[in-house]
Amino acid sequence: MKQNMRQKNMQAYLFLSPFLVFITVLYILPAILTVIMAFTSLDSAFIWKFNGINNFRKILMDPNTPIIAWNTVKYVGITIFLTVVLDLFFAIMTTYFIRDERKGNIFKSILMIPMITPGVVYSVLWLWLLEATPNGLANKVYMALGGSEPLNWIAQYPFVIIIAATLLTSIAYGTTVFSSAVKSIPENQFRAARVDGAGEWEIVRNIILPNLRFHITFIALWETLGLLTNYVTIMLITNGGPGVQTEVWALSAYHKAFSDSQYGYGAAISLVLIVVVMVLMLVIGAVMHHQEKSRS
Amino acid sequence: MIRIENLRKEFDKGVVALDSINLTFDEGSFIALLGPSGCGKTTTLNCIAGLLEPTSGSIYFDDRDVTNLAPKDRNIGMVFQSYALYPHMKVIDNIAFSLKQKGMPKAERHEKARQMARKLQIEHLLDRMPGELSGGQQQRVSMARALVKEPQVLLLDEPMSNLDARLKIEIRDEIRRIQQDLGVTSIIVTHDQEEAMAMADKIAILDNGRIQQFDTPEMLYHKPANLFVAHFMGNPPMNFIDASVEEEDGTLWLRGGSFRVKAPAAMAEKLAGKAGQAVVIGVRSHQMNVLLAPAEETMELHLSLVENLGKDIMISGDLDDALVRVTIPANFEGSYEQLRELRRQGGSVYLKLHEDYNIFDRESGVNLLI
Repeated sequence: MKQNMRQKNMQAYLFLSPFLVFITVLYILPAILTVIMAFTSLDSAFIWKFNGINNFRKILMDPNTPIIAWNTVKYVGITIFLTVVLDLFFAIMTTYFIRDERKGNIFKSILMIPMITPGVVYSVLWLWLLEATPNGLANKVYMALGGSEPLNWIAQYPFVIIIAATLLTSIAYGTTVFSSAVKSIPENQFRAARVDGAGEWEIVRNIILPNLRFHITFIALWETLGLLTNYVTIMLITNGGPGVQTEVWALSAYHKAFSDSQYGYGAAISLVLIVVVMVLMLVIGAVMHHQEKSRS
Repeated sequence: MIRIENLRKEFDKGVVALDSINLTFDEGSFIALLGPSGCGKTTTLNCIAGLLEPTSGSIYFDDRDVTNLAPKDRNIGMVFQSYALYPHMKVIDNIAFSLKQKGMPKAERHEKARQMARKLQIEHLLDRMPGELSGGQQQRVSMARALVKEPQVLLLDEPMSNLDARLKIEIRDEIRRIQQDLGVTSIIVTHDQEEAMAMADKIAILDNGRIQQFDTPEMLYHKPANLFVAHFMGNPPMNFIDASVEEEDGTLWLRGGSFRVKAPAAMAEKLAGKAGQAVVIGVRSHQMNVLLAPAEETMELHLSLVENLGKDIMISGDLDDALVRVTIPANFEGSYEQLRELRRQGGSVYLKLHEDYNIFDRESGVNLLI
């Protein structure tokens, strides 16, 4: 019996090993390299030379660092807040108020379009939409409504635009998660609340939101992870500009490493981010664990 | 007083869930809606609660027409099958939820919740979360939650079907006691005829969205209005034997495949002029005597099973095409062993009907005696 189990385990490992090898070669090794690189002055000359914590000192000394950090906090904070609020709004609307599952699903599918559009295509669409010339769609609308001069939208409202663009790609996931959570609330809880005198708003506040509290925490943390590390949309639309107005932490690591060829410095910036992300993942783990416990 | 008039409910695609439901009952009474699953009993309850909108018909609480009122404006309390406690609130806040919706200050509503909890003996649970309670405790909490607002009507939707058999009896006595203490008009939905008989003052039996009979438990048991009710009520179930009405020299007889019995005088009156009609004799297991030898107007029962149930001995066997169960009466001339021996030899006993059985029209199923 025991032997049998061990054999089964062996088989499982055998099947998993190709993936383990791939992940090791393609992911863990580069990660280790990055960590090592963070303590070198590696640049376009490609000389590995350890320079201790010089890179980190440089981060602290850089006058742009506080701006970039604040940009990151602002970008992630505002986007998360709006994402969760919109997720809840769409989930409750499509699942609780629109009882017809088919109609709700049509709406949710539409929400999913930005998410499944390739990032590059999606960003180019935004650039095209917001073109600074009179031919840009936004400018056409603006001038039809009485604007005198075409606006350079991206230069004028860079922060609003990157948040809006990111927001559209992120609402589908949370909406889907929240929808299924709303659906799993027993119908009798709504009935009990209605009999007990609750109106629709009280039901949302007293029944739906408390039932979703773990899902909300999870989505907020999960999306934070994604936003901290993903910079593609920003890079393609504003590339951190104008100046450093929309430069966020992950994008700055990319810029330092690949635009300025300061690989060591870029790696150090990434390492700071990795630490933050790891802490966040520990928090997610704890939340999930807590959720399991309170369910059982 | 609660009055339901011509209630009809159609669902999508023209499915008629309820049709011509008429019920009237007094303040403070306990009513059961009883029937098999899909008969419309829960739909009726949901219409009374306002959770479903009837297609036509009216519902009155006293003289107040509540047909188009939202549930929250009807002053009802409701207990659900799955209890439907709010999982994220403490027991005390669960109980006080409806008072909170009315805008009652916290101290006051907690005091009321505490009083109600005392009545249901769950005061020690007030600070727990619903997830920490057993099924029976959750049941009591959900009763307290329904009653704390002093509702005009208490609605119970299969409140005991998630409990084990012993707890069921305990809780049903508890519900009955509280209901009588508070004098609140109550309606319970159940598929358990024993539960309905034990708790309710009057029972409405539903099938296919229509009321088959609305009567006291006693009447339902002794004078079922039709074959459906007769099948549904009583344990062991009523026996049904096919027969036809025969008239001979002014005397009415019931003739089956292997027997002929004289209709008792009271019955004969009701059956007058029905000679030749195909009927079903409905007789309960204790409504006949058992003889070991044939006698005048007896029916032969081929024994197939003899069971000792402790208190009673029950025999079953074939009578014509029907399976008939008989509870051996106290005055039986033989013994259990004798019956066992008789069954082993493939023998028969002879049944003599008492005079209190029922006769149904075989086609329409209607009880011909009422």
